[in-house]
Amino acid sequence: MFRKQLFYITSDHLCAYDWRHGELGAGQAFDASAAGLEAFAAWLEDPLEQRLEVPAYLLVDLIEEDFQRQLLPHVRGKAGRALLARRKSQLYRDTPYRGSTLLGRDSAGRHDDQMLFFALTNPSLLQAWTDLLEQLQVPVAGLYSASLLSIALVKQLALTQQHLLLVTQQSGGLRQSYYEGGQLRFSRQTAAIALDGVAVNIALETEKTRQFLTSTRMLERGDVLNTVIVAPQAQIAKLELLCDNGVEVAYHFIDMQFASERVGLPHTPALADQLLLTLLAKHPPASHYPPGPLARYYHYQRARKALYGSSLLIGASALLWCAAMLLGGLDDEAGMAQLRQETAVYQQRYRNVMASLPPAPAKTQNMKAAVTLEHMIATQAPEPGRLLAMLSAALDQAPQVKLAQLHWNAGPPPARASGSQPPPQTQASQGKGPPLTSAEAGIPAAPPQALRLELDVDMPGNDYRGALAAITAFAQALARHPRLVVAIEEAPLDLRPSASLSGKSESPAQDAQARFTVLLVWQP
Amino acid sequence: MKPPFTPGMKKPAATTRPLPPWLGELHLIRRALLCCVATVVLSLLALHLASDYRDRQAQRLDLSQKERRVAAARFNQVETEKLEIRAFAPRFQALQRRGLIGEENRLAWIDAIRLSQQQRHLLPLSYEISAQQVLKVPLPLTMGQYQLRGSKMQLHMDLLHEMDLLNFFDDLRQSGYFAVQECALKRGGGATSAGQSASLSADCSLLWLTLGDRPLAAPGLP
Repeated sequence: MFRKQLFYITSDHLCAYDWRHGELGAGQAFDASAAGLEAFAAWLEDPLEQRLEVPAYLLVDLIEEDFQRQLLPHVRGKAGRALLARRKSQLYRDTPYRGSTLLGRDSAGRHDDQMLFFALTNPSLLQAWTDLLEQLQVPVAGLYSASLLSIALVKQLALTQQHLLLVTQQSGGLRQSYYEGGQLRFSRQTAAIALDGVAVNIALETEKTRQFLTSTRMLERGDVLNTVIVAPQAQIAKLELLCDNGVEVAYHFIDMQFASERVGLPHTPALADQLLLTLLAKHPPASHYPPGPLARYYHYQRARKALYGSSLLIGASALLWCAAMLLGGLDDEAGMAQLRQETAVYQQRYRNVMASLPPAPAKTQNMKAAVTLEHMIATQAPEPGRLLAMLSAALDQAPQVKLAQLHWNAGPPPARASGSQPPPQTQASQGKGPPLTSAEAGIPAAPPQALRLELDVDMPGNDYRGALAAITAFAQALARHPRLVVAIEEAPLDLRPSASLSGKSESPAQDAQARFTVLLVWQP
Repeated sequence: MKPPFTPGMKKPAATTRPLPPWLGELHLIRRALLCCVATVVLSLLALHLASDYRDRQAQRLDLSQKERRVAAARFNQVETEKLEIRAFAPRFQALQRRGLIGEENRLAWIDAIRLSQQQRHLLPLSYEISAQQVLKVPLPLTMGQYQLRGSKMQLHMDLLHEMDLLNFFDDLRQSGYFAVQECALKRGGGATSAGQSASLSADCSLLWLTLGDRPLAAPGLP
């Protein structure tokens, strides 16, 4: 899981390193030849090491790497991306390994973007290696440039000079990278030379680079080029003798041991390759060059890892959840046992106390409910006796008034029938209608009672005035009872100004009777 | 340019769209994909079963708590219950005897009608008892295990005197509980019996009341 394999590729060989648990292993070099490829394939397929599943990081250190600084209109979004892609394909038509980085914005004019374009101009140098990696389905995580990766080395060494030329000796040759304000502007590699001539060569190549930077206006006249040379301690003494500081050049030397310590490399290498590889392995940035289809096995591997990781996470979460549920359930089970025991104790105590009583005919609450309901029925169920008794007493006091017929009902009074028609039957008398409710039995409260009376009043000598007085006295006698409402619905003589009135008067006047109707509503 | 199609000419083969390259390499992640799908399915199943188990346990615990509360409350009120049993049991048994509790006793009602008519020398009367119905009771009322039932009786009587009707009701009340719904009295009945002619006729509607056991809920119904 913590393994990586790092391939340092130069024009004539590939050096493979294992990265295990944060440490760089010993390098294994393979020549760029058929034999070298075969050996590299055997190395990858070593069954003991199982390298085919380990992510690979390719670090190329080639002379055929080009850098160009160009201005590009500041365009964002899809159009900006298309413009950038078009410019890259215009600049580097023959290679798929091309990239760009934004250096900043131009201070003058339309504030164009300052872009640095770079590319590996001879992809055939890589093809043999990449074909083999693809054939063996090795997951390639990215394709990196040694010159671009040296930006991380500059940061690690805390080099903050405005004009910096970093000089490192690498297995591909002497690498000189120019930084302005901490940003890579240019890099070149020169071929490797004999070890005893290194110092002379470095001084000479540095001067050439300075002249190139000045001629291309990257370095203005008067700017001091701080040349930082990373070299082993043994070479620094020789270099100091030959590298004289001038008006526009200042030399600084960094011991390889110091650089190794800053990078975190436990030993001091002779070349800067391992410094860059350690930086790459510890903090791999996004791929400098698009690896294209070469990276698809890496993507599959990441997808596999993501799927297995998700499975593990989901499974573990589900297991934890289930465990919590089961523990909760077991806890509930213990609680239930305790509650059941307490319930049994209470029930036993209850039975012990009740054992002294004779067996009850029913449950206590049922007996209580039945007795309560019976009391309501007995006291509140409607019956006509009381209202008829009131009527009887009133009739006794009014001898002129005689009862013809009556209609009593529980509940609100029914609508009155007109003329000689019989009173309309209530829903209760029809046997149909809404379902019966307990209110008709006086539960929970006694319903009102209505009594409609049809009465005759004697009129000796056709004396309407006397008859009306008798009716009024009769009604007043009834109205003395509390909660009894009396209404004369139909009088013997309609004296309202709005109604027509007809009659016959003769002499001597004869005795007669007149019919009137009274409605009584009583709330018990 | 596409040549025109002529009879006898071989039909051009349909162009086949090549499959995307990743589809051919899907086997590289097939096992991981199946593992993930199986894990998700098994996890969901396990979660469902565990949640179901937890819910059932929680329900059982809740039921046990209720049973314990009921048992405790019953025991705490045992003295009150003893007093209530002593108070209500005799009255309850009296109600059973009078026919309020249990199935209605129509034979007792008919006997009461017959006896009252004989003893009070009432004129012939007719009655009609409808099928029993359950009366709706407002909710806050405590009914115990009972439901209120009523049977409607239509009664027609010829009367010599108004008091005959009220006395007849008093006689009926000895053999059951009823509520009078409505009564209409008219003067001049016209019926005769043993030389007596009726001066009134009455049409009444009564509701015989009983308290019956509430039927048990059918299985599967709340």
